[in-house]
Amino acid sequence: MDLINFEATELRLGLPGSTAEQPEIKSTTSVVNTNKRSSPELDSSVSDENDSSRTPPPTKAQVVGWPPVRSYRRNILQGKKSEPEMGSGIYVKVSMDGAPYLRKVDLKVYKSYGELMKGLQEMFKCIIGLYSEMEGYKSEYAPTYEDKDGDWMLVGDVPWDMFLTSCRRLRIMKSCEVIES
Amino acid sequence: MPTMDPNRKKSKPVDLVDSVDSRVELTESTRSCPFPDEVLERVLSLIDSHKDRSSVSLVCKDWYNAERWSRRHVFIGNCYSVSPEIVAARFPRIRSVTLKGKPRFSDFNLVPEDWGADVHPWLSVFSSAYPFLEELRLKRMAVSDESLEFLATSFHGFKALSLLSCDGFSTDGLKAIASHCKNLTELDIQENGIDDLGGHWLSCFPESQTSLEVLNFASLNSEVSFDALEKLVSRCKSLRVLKLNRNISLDQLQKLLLHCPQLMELGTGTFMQELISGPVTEFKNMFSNCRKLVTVSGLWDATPLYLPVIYPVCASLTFLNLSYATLQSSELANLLFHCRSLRRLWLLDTVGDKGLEAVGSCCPLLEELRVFPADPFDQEIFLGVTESGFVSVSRGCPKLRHVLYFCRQMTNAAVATIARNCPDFTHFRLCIMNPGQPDYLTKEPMDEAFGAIVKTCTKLQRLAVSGLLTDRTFEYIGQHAKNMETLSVAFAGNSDLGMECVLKGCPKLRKLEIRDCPFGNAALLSGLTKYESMRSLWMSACNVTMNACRMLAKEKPRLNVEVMRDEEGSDDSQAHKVYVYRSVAGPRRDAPPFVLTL
Repeated sequence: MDLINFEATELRLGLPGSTAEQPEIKSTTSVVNTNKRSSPELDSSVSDENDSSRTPPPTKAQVVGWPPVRSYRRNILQGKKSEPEMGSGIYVKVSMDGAPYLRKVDLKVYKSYGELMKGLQEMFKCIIGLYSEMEGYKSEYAPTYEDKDGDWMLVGDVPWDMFLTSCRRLRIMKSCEVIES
Repeated sequence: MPTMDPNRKKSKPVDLVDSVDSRVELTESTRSCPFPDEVLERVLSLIDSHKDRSSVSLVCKDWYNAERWSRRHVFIGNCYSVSPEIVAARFPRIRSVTLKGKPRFSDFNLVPEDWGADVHPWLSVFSSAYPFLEELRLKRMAVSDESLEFLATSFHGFKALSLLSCDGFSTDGLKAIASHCKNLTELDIQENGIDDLGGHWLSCFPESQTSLEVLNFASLNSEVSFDALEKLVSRCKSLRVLKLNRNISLDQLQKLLLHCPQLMELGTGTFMQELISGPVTEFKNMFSNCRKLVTVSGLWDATPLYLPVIYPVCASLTFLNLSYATLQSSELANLLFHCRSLRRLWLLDTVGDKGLEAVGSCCPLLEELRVFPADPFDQEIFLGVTESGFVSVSRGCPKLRHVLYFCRQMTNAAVATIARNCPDFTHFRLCIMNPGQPDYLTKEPMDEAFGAIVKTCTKLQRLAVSGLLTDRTFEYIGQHAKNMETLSVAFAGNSDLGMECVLKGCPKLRKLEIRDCPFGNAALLSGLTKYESMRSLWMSACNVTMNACRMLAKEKPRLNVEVMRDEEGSDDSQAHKVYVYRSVAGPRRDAPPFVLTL
């Protein structure tokens, strides 16, 4: 599924030219190996390709070796969402093509795909219908989700438990826009 | 973590000697010592503590000789303080060696690669001097695959290898160890800069390998053959420590535990399963046969769904390492409810202050707490833990002795309360993550906090300070920290006076590591007479010049004064990284070009 074509036609709330959603790139390398540099061990000229999507506080320079945490401990949160979980629910953003703003759902509330579809249908006042392995969704809309690898998948292919752990966010696309790969 | 500093036996040699004295005849009148060497050696062989042994060796020449012949384990805290030849000459019968190399700040990338601490020269000498060497424990040493192969093939009775924070080797080196060390009892690989080329090394253990007692490969990333692992675990009946890596699933863990009910320390693999092969209840009995388990670690990805699986063993746990599990406060509380016997607890700050309240209420026997930051470099992340969590723990755990605490805010009042609640601190390391941050309520420096600690906690041996600190902190330390042996300082102090107070006032100081502080030449030189009684001094990004270092080196020939130059060589008069240590081996001959020994 190639998403690049759709971004131009998406209706989202935000200033023209700004991208509301950016992939979460963690700037993990604040411990830049500046062993070759002289004092102080402050490297304020941080590479900003990672930071362009956010506006980090300009005063916080990256300090080598500080805080004193050893490298094997640095990426403990990798693989997990960087948003803190509210309570113990699994909250994911849901967008729908044509809808002006996004919603958030707690996936933990639902026990199955059927329940999730019902919830989404109510939320967006649309009809998504039932899933079949061969034909996908026989309706105007196709629910898709971004998994933890960053790929966009059709909702329903994997067991519910697996979906719960890998779903990062949902997007209800117009069926006609879906390109079967 | 294996203890690197064997200091168990506290027996005084005098007592032992007196008890033997009455039954031994006097030998030749020319002997200064009233009984034969063999008896003295036999008596001294019972002393384990290397500090006690050092004292013993100073009594007289006979005792020196008896001690050197009876010593089986040697501890070398700084590999450059002595040469392998000197060690081999003095101690002819060593079976076990502990060796530490790089300065501690190398853990935080402050020491360039290729700095040194190569283990190979040691192995070369040992291969002829100690062909019966059984144990080698290395920390912050440079170890190559060739060295590991050499080790595996040169020492035929070799039993135990422990590598902590070492670098330079790959899993190929581990293959050599697994293949050749027929009597291996311990393979402990922790937190090393290792080239992980795959898990095949584990399959190199031959069928005849049945003696393993300790196997720790938790920090290796690649998958090992589960089949090989399962067979290995089932034939090693004495296995008591097993620490798996994240690739081992819950299903696989369950199978392994069936083979080793005698296990005392377990590091699990991932504690979550996306596709469960059976109902979760099937896992509930996984631990019920492990009646000897006292330590659990690993627990990667643990969720509320699977965590209850370990509840059956919690009551007898003394050490729980949750520093890889991103638990929230309620998950932790539910878990700790079952863990009343805990002495040591390691956590991530995802548990928050509420989680720490649970620690305070559930773990009255707690002696050690370490709280690590889950996301230390992202300043936009949630708060983690604050002063309030620390205070809660101190109220419920008065036996606390050893603390490492990372936080983003702290107050002087809170630390003073903590010190009052836990006067027995021996290790106190507080890291307020934003450098130079004051008391967030009063906006004052954190001087009074550390002042309270050193005044109240008279047994303090190790201290790490942080936050906005003036010279006052160091005045307090110099005045009160009379048992302090290790001090770590960063982004603190106003003037030379700070460092001078510490050097003048702390009689037991052995290791001083300082970075990014305004201490200069006067401070450095004020310790002229002190450094020979210390293991080492590290100063980086301070105000020290090359001339002062040269002066120190000239006045004290038994110190190695090393300055690390950076490549740009912009300002030759400034000494950016200074490492000073006592040595009987003279200046080192393997220094790389960027290390200048003055």
